[in-house]
Amino acid sequence: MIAELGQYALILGLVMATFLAIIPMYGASTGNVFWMSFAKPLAKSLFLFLLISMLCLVYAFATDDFSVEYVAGNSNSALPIYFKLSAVWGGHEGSLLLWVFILTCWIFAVAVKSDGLPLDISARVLSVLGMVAVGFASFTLITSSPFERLLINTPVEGADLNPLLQDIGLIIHPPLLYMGYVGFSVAFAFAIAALLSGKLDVAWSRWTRPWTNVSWAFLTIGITLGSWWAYYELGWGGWWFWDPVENASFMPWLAGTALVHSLAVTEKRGLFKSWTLLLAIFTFSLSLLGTFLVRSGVLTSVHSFAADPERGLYILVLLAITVGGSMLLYAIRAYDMKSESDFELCSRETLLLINNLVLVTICAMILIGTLYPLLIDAMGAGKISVGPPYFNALFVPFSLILCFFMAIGVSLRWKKSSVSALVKQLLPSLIISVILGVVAAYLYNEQMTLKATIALVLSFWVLISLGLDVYSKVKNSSVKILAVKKMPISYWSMQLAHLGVVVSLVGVALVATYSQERDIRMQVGDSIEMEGYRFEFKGVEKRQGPNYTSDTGTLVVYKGDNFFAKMHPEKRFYPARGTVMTEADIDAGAFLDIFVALGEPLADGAWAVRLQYKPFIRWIWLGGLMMMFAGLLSAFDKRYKRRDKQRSTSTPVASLA
Amino acid sequence: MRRILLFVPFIFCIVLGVLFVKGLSLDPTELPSAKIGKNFPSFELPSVRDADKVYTQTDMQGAVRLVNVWATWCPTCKQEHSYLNKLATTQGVEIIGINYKDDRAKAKQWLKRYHDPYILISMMKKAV
Repeated sequence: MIAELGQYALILGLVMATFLAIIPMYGASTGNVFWMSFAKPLAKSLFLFLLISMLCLVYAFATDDFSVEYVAGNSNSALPIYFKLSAVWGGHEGSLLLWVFILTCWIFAVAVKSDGLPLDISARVLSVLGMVAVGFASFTLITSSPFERLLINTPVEGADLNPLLQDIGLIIHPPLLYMGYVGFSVAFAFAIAALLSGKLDVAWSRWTRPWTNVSWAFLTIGITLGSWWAYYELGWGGWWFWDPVENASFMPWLAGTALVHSLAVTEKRGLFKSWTLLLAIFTFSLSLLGTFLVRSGVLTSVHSFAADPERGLYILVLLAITVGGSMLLYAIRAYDMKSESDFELCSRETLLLINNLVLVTICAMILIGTLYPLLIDAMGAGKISVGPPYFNALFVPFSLILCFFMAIGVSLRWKKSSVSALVKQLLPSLIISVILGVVAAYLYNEQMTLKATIALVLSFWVLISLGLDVYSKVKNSSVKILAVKKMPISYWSMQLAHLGVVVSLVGVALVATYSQERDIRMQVGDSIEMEGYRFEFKGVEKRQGPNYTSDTGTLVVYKGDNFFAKMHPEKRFYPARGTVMTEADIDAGAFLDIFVALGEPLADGAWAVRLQYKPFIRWIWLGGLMMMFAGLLSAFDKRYKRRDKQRSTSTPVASLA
Repeated sequence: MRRILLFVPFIFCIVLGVLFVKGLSLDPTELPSAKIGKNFPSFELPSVRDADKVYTQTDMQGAVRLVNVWATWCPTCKQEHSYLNKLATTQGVEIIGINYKDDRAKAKQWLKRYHDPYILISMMKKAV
């Protein structure tokens, strides 16, 4: 019965969403305050119903209700409880319900936090969000309800969660990633509301910024977690594969980064308005595109949910209405946008424009690479695949170009900066960076490569630029600590985010250039040397887990002559699905990961063993973590706090007078 | 001019939409063989029927023929054998057999028992 309650709650949610999509929008276009005031209560009840629906599904999993088809397909009574709960989003239907639920969470947050907005804006924003909710809730209900029952031949036992997903990564990666994807719908809704109302002043960008920054932060950590999870779970030591679904998450991130920067320009200088609007629509469209690519079967990917062209068609129609409609609205209404000021060539605005262009170019290249196989197949020209060679060849130079301009951009003033002052400030630091970078690259590994060295040089240069900027802001004040405190939070989150980019860049450059890999056959007692580490294979023994049996190997690792670590890679067999999983053992360090995995058992008790030396790989995710904190931090900036102080001081002033 | 430019994203979306509609009717997992259109690999293999005779790929050329790789230890080969017989006798398809990792005497006996549709059979002991 709980499953039926969940289904019913979802239906009620759809009804609320439909009202939300229509009533406040109608009120806004006719100026009817009564109708507009329905937006917030409808938004809140929409959230309530989806919460109930989600809880019902969680309950079905928690109680092993295998009469619910989705539970039977993704769970098992032997599964530990934390995996049973996260199996809720382990398959297509449940993850879609999660998507809709997270959308309603964002809608609720907008409803609660929108008291500072004019009523017609908040009504329109919530209505647009309601329309998105209608689209996805109806899609879930009609084609992919997780509450379908298996009442005739109810299985006694479930098919178990895919062992690849039985990991903490599953518990946190999808929810955080979806928070990011779905969060950009808020920026999208603000953009549509602005286009519909014709009001595109600076206030619009000020309202949109915190929502965009926080969504960006979530998407950043979602992608970072995905990469980290793939690294330790898949057992090959790779951390990014340019898989279509990975690209589908990276493209909105790139567009979202461009949006974050563009919003800053629009807020501070009233420029780039139509560009910012387009980016807001574009970012969310890329999120939706990702949803389409993963669930329609149009592209093959390790990530795809069950490929179903019928569902694909439904999502495509949703996409056509949302993206097509919003692009058309943009084309018609954006013409009336006027810039509020202008800027010189040597200014922060120019650099941010370059930033946007580079980011959008990278995004376009990834889009082309991802869709190219589909295009070739659709034209009947055969089946090809586009992989790392293409993506790396294009991404690496462009990202280095981006970092080059980032170092310059943080040092420039708004509107007008003097070229000579810029050169005076940056040329010495560039020279120092070149020296530092080359020396660091050489000291690290005598066999230097051009790409890694350039990456290090640019990292030092950005670091010095950031430092110089902070210095220039505090040097005129006598008490440095006060000057630091006076800087707004948004300034520090900017510095932290750019620092995060540098940290990730260093990680990527070093691991891509200097990682080592050996796949060898080892007998008990064999030992092998790699990069100054000696690995001794001690054999494999059998072990029993909660829902698997395992072959656990033991390798003792020595650094030089000293004991370094004892590592236990495993090969696990999960009887419920009959699958075998490779569990690598990783000695994680701040500057180096040693990665050990078992391959196949060979004759005479020997095993194929995979050993990897991964320098600085944790820096990649550390950078992502820093960027996430930066994004979240920016929402606490003082300008977003409500002006309650002004209201409370009005009475005392009156009494003084 | 600017007005027209603003329609570019919209047009781009339409184009992508058309691509995706077409894409839904395709199956990306369906992979045609990579070897279609390529030359048959060259080889030199002894005959099954006559141990001294050796065949090369030139013996197969000259007409459109079906090459069947089979063995006595292969159960699915046995299942499809009656179909091959039908092709050879009623439809006149010329079938060339390649007996893989098998025993010559066993192969000859197997063919005597289940009927021999091949115009020529060669023996392959390991992958060429």
